[in-house]
Amino acid sequence: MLDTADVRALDKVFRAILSRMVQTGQAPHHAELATARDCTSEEARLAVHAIFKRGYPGWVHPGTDLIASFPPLNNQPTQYRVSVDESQKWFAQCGFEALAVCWLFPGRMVRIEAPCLDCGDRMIVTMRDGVVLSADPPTLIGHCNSPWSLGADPKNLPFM
Amino acid sequence: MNLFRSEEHIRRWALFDPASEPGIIALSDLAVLFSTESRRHLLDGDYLERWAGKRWPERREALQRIGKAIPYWMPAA
Repeated sequence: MLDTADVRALDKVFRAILSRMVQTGQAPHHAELATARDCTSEEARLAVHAIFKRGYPGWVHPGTDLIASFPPLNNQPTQYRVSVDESQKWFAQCGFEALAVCWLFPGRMVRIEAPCLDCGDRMIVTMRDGVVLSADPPTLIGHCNSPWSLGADPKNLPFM
Repeated sequence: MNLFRSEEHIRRWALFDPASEPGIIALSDLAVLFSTESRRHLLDGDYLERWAGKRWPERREALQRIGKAIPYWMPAA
């Protein structure tokens, strides 16, 4: 039995989700989690929702139980394509979270590639262990179009 | 929360909100914000129990360090 009020039990599900995303670029379905965690499919489904309700800033696709976002990665493709050792199979939740993906791949070079929302031209950032190794163009910059402080309140996360 | 080729590209973006000028941030500052200690423990197996609660306190401290301790970026205490 998986008790969704037990944070240690949720941590096992959390790690199973994120580990699968690191390995494959894709989030597992809760039915797959049930097999891995030796719980029922319904318990795994509730656990996924419980992780987000605790304030972890990801979400399921609206009206479903399908994990769409599990930061810093995204299961639903975004414009932020992430490659590790030249293999591209990950997407970042957003341009900011893209910079945290390197912590899922310690010691390895992570490349973030995205089109500029203004002109569509390509931008590339490479990082390793939190250090920006290169930025193309060098003028590359971040922007938050609404107050970042709003994200401290889970009510403001999309689709929650 | 996006990356752009330059500040000029941000302001030319069709969805740019003029009230979001304080939301422009250097890449080097973003790297600081997204390298806080809890980020390094996502796969440890005790992230929710031990690290998740430190996420915003760490951010506040990092925002102070990069000079972004303003309401636009800082969550209420």
